[in-house]
Amino acid sequence: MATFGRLSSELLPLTIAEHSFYHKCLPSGLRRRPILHVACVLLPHFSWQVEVLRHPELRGRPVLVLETTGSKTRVFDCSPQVTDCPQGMPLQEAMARCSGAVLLEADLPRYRVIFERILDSLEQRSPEVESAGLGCAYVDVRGLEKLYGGQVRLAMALLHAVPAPYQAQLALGPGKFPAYVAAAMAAPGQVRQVSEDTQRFLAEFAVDILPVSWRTRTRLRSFGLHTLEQVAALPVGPLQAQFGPEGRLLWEFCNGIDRSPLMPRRPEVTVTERLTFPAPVVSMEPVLTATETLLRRAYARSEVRGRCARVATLQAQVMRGPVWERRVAFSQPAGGKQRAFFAIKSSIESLVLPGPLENIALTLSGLTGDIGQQESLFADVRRRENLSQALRQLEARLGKKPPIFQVRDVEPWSRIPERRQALVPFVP
Amino acid sequence: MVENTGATPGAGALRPLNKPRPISIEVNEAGQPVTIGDGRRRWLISTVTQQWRVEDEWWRQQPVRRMYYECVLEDGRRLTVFQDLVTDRWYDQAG
Repeated sequence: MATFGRLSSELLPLTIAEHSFYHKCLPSGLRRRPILHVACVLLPHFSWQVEVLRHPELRGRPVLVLETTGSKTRVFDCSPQVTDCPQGMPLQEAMARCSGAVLLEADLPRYRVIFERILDSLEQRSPEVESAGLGCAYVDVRGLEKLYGGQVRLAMALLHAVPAPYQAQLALGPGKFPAYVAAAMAAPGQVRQVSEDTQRFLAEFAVDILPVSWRTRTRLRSFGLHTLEQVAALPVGPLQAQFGPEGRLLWEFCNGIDRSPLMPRRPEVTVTERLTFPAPVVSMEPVLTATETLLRRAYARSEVRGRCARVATLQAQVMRGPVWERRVAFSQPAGGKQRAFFAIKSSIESLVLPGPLENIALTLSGLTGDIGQQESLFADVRRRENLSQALRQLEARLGKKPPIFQVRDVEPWSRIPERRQALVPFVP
Repeated sequence: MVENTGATPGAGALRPLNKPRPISIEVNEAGQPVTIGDGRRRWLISTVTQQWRVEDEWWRQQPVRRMYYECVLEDGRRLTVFQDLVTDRWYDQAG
């Protein structure tokens, strides 16, 4: 019975087959049903798994998947046997810890395409699926239990949505972070469930599990904070003072608070055109010619006709190398091939190709209906619309909400100056 | 006493403006500031033109108790600083 006591009050580690057996055996008082809103589907070492499926000879060998940004190369993923090289660690440090590892350059476009397919498959089980980076997805499971005939069947349906080689781990929890932690602790093909006392459940986990940057985790350790319990015991103020908004967030996570709503994927209309070169190309001229051809085809498509595109993405397969990708966000939405080509040309013509390109694909995204600038009698309304358009353009360019705020009076009468005004996110 | 909920007013959606900036201050025997430093150099305070006290939110566990000084520096700049009477730290206050 001691086992049952632990199961009910802390964590329910259960395989799908075991679940119904345990549940029947539990005394009725212990059959607590925590409110489970979110399922976390975790595919650990997803990028490495993709590489191993492509190159099976890598299985069993220490592998570091690397990402280069500017002049810095950092660890993006690693094989399971490499335990002390977390994501974000600089290459030099990783090599010092794991000198015999096979080094691979991350093929991000390929990982994204495969992960998108997995998300599509999850979306067939639940309409609300959030992508939380490669290898991690959150699924809104509210109301689905009855539809699937119980929690176990629901969990099984979600697990079966992921192809078996990716060894999905699944957990159900009241919020995204607790569900993520439980999923990280689950064995492949296993389902876990967070108990009601989320704070107690999280207490003993190491700070490495926090979804913050490697730098922040290193700083936490340098302050002598190794477990979530130690962080949770601190007042929120000093953490905010040290880490800014991220400090408050990690304090909330450690205390089992995760208010972040599930942000489901938005269906987006994109248009992709592809072209294969007769022979691998090594100079930029044929790439530009191909881009112009692809733009002509893309703008002739019915989905784009009469609309503008905010972003163009070029992807090309490099011979014996990872996919080369270039994203060009237009300063103004481009409603025609000439304008788009001019922007793409000025962005890529001075680049050096990473190797011979075998094919090229162009994707237009961020499609908008505004193709002209109509004058309006109501200048104020027009100004707000223009601002709104400019913000959307900035969002497409930055890949996230632009940091634009406006000053608002909050407590103008306050005797404390910093309480009088505040910056609020600008919504036109 | 109102219990401190631990919540910062409007955190997340609101970003306070004119947040006080910690500074280093040397005081005389009367407790009035005489020099101000920003970590790299120091300035002499030529005059303290005004001083006032703010006591607020005394019903909270962390009340606001500040002594404000409006100072004129040796180079003519005006600056408002305050001493947090709870923590004894000094801050530069804009706004």
